[in-house]
Amino acid sequence: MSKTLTIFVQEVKNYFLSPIAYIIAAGFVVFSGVSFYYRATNFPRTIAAAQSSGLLDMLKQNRINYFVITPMLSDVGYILMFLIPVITMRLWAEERRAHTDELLLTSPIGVGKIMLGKYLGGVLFVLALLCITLVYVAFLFHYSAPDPGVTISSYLALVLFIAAAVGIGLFTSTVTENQIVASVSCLIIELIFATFGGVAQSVKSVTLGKVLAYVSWREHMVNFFDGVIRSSDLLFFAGMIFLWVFLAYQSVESLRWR
Amino acid sequence: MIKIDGLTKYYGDFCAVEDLSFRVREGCILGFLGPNGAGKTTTMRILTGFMPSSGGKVLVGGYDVFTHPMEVKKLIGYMPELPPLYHDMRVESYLQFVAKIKGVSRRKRKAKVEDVINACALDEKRSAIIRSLSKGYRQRVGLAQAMVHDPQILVLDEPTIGLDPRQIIEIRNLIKSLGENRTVILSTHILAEVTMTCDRVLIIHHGKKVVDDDIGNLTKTMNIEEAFLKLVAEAEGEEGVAGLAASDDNTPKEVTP
Repeated sequence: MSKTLTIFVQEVKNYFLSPIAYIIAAGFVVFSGVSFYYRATNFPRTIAAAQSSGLLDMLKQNRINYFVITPMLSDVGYILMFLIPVITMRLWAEERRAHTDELLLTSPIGVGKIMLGKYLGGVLFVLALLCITLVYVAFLFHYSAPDPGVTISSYLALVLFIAAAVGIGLFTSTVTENQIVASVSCLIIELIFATFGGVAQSVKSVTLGKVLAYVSWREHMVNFFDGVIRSSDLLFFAGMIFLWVFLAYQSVESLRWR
Repeated sequence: MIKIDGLTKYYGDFCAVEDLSFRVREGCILGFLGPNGAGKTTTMRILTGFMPSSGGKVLVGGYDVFTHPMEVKKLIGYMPELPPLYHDMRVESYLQFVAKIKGVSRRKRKAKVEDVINACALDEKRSAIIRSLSKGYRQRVGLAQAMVHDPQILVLDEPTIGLDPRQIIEIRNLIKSLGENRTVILSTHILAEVTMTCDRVLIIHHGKKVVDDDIGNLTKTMNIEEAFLKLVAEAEGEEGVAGLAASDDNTPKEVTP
């Protein structure tokens, strides 16, 4: 366990030492800031529109959550979907490029521990980015009264999304030495899971539609945004995390066999 | 200390190492020679547990590399051809990191890192960023990382490549002093280095063993360069014969250096 921790600490240090991390963080602050500004300043207008359409009377949720926090966090999810591949692309590809994989794989430490340490390092960095958005939410809590429960469950949705997406990035980073290929493949896999929901509605077969809907991000995040934590959603994300980290492990192991 | 029997490695259809067997005694410095592409690096990578073999048995300190990789990895310090360095780290913190993943206990870590910094003459560069180091210093850091957990066996893949003559002499002396209480496998293209540092020589060609002998026996009648060229040419000649399966002319082709 202590060796996993060593790899984890090393990975986190790497992030905070590299200039690309700060460029990514700056980009994230700009995009998430724009989203927050837009959602917050548009609040009176969306409220008015909702009132005239009668939506407001039917709405059971807290208005700040429904019209500001949820849309903003949904935007943040999309922003992260594009940033995570850039963050994770170096996790293993860089080790191979620099030949430091020879050091790690000839040290008395299992591949599983290496992968786990790297994965957790990547997750922590993205979570640190997500923490920036807490400033916006704190602002809302100060001037208004959002629902704390719904806010927490909405954040949980993003944490789980991040955990799964970093898993995908870790895996694509193990299949190639080329970091561009790693990041583009990661983005494509993320987008496939993102578009499944839309495709599901247009397929004729009911079973296929259900399957496609089941594997889409959105399908499993909406309930969290409504403040409902369902075990089936938790299971989906747990399965995704396990699957991709396991595939990354297998990929590194199998590379050695070729 | 090291027992290799019938080691074979295929990359797809290509056979990199074929039925290679040899032993290395404890405390021996073995010079591992062969032309480029002979299978030296592959053999070392299998020995250090970096990759599995396609066949054969590799025993290190009584442990099978395949079934007990962790025990073997604890015994071996490996310096690959390109030193595995994190270029953004400082020398000392890099060595600390390596010591941690090699399983050096917290109590001994500081002392071990100090030992290798002194042994590899890295004291004045301990807080330098690895990226800024010259090739010679990087090579020394590479050697230091292989030694930091005080392994009984050192596997060094061309440790003097790309160094200037003065640095070569320094590294060579270092290896010699290391070999006093360790088993060392040293792969190199500089044949003079072998005569100066090694007790035993193993030459392979096209993944097969050509010779495995004491340095003294090999250099009795000719110098190491002549011996190397003659043996490799012989091996090539035999292969040609086996491939054609026609000629019974077994006389080695003379190659002048």
